[in-house]
Amino acid sequence: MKSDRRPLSLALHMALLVGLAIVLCFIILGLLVQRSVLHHFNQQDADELRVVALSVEKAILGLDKFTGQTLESRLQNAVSGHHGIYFAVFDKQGLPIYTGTEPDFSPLLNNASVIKSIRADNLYKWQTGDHQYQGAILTPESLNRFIDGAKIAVAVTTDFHHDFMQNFRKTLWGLMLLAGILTIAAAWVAIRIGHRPLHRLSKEIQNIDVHNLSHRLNSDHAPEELSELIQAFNEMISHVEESFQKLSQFSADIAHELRTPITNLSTQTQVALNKDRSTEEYRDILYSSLEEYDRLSVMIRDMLWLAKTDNKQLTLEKTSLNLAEEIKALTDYFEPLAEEKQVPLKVSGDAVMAEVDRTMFRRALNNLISNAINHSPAGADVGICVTQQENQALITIENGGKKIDEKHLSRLFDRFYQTDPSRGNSQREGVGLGLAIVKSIAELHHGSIEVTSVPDKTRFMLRLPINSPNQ
Amino acid sequence: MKLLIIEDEAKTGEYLRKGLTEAGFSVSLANNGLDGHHLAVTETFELIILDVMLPDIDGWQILRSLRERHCDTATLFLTARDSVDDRVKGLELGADDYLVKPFAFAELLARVRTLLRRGQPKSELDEMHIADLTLDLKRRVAHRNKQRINLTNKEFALLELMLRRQGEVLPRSLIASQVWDMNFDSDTNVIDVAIRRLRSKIDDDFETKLIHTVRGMGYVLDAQREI
Repeated sequence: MKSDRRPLSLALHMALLVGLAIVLCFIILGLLVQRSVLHHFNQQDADELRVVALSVEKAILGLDKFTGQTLESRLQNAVSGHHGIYFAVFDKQGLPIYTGTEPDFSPLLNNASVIKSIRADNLYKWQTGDHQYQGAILTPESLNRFIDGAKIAVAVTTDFHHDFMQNFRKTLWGLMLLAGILTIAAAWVAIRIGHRPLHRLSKEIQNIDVHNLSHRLNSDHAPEELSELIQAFNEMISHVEESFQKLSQFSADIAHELRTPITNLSTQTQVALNKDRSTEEYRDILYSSLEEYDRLSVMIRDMLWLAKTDNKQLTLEKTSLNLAEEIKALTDYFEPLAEEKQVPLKVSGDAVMAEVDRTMFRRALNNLISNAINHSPAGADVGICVTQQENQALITIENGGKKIDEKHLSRLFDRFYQTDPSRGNSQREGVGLGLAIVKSIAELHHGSIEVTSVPDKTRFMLRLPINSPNQ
Repeated sequence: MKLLIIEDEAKTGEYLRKGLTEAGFSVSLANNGLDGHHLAVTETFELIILDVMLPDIDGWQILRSLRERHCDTATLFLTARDSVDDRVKGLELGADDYLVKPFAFAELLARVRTLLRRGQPKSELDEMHIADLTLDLKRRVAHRNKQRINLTNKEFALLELMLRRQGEVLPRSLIASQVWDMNFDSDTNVIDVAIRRLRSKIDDDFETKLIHTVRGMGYVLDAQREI
């Protein structure tokens, strides 16, 4: 099931994780400490019990030497200096020969098996009343000559250990809880502080709007982890700014380009209607209007086309084409115009096969060749050459004529950009979208278009991948 | 020749009706989809010009309904949305041609005539004539007044196109598309130059001019045109 809940805050998330890790470490540590303390106590108990058992055994054996002493008195004095240690001696049937004051040995006697030597891990534990004990039963063979099958029972009270462990446990877990809370809080605070540059950054980003798109985030005082983000963000903002400026410029240009013909049409119509005119005159005016309308609709169509390429709404219908043949078709088409303008078309190069959209390729070349013919002075060649460079097809179109100024070169492919700001020529030369269309076509094919210009040689270079990557 | 126009935009519909009537067609105009659909199924037309965007039932639905009734009337649809999907959709539904708004009237006229001609048996002519101009399609030579005229391949193709569609105004874009296979609107005056050259060969030395310029629209081959 997918949860729509917002994930925990980064700081809390991390603090919890850190806290959990630390608490887990404490728990493991605490358990180990507890275990080793317990083990130590057991070892101690076992040692003492061993000593006591030995003393008892010796006391019984000593009956030989010191006559006159009863077993009872010997045993009473057998053990001294051991606190909380008890012992008893039983005969083969389990009847008591000697018992101290405490404790009740019957559970031990009834349940525990006889062992040879006392170790920390073979003690029997039992409880009588409020007290807890652990002990063992031994049957030393040496005693058989005094009492056949004598059993020595030794026990130690573990109340003290038990109490100690209980307190120890309480303290330990209390400390751990406190440490856990403290570490989580500390981690949370630390992370919050660590995130401060992030908050600063988002504040800074919030302040960016369309009016100050030129603002760039400063990565100098930002931690290393953020500088990459800042850089990426700055790059994105640069792209946005660039596109935004282009868009603004584009809108302004559209308005300008539309206003001119519409003003013409409107003025012309008003003047025409001012007085009665001959049919001939009316016809002329209508024809003139028609030409303006055509210009307008060509412009609108081209703009729509460009808008569609921007929105990636155009799909290429790629086929494998011999580019040289396509160029031949185009030069056939332009031949009459070129001859009339006295600019011979010189075609050279190889038969290069490439996967391109035929109509778009022809359209791009059409715009480039038409430009070249229009800008070439009479008598100068227009050179068209197609070659293969690695996995790219390179089509160069050169024409003579004036050098294009550097400041125009980079903007030549911008929409509506014209080197002559007055745009006075009323020739059917378009509205400055031709090269923008070429650029879009190149980009749609994942290719590129470049231009260089020196006196008497302006060269456009169109590069298209031979095997276009999938779109 | 009866045509039906289904177009909700009053001005567009009116000028289409006027223009096509003046071009010699008998035209019915419907201003909405329902009327259009009713007319299309009750009367017989040679061609239906169909706007896609209609307020009540859109052009696609009308087209689909007509094709479901096995009505094979040639259909040309007009669309303001020039997307490949739209075009493909229209053609899949059985439309015969499409035109994107805004279009030149001459272009529409040329397309209408092409569609109407499609139904007729194609005449495999060996020769074509207009006035004293003869075009020998087999040997690919042209004569005017018994004089042989030397034409390049493309010039011959251009003249053949104009002869096949004599009397029709051919827009530049149509000429570029049919003769040079340039299927985009190029705003160069290449066609003007090509026509000028053809003219210099077939018209300049003769009294009767055959190729006429229709300003703002295109070119027409006609023996008795006065402009």
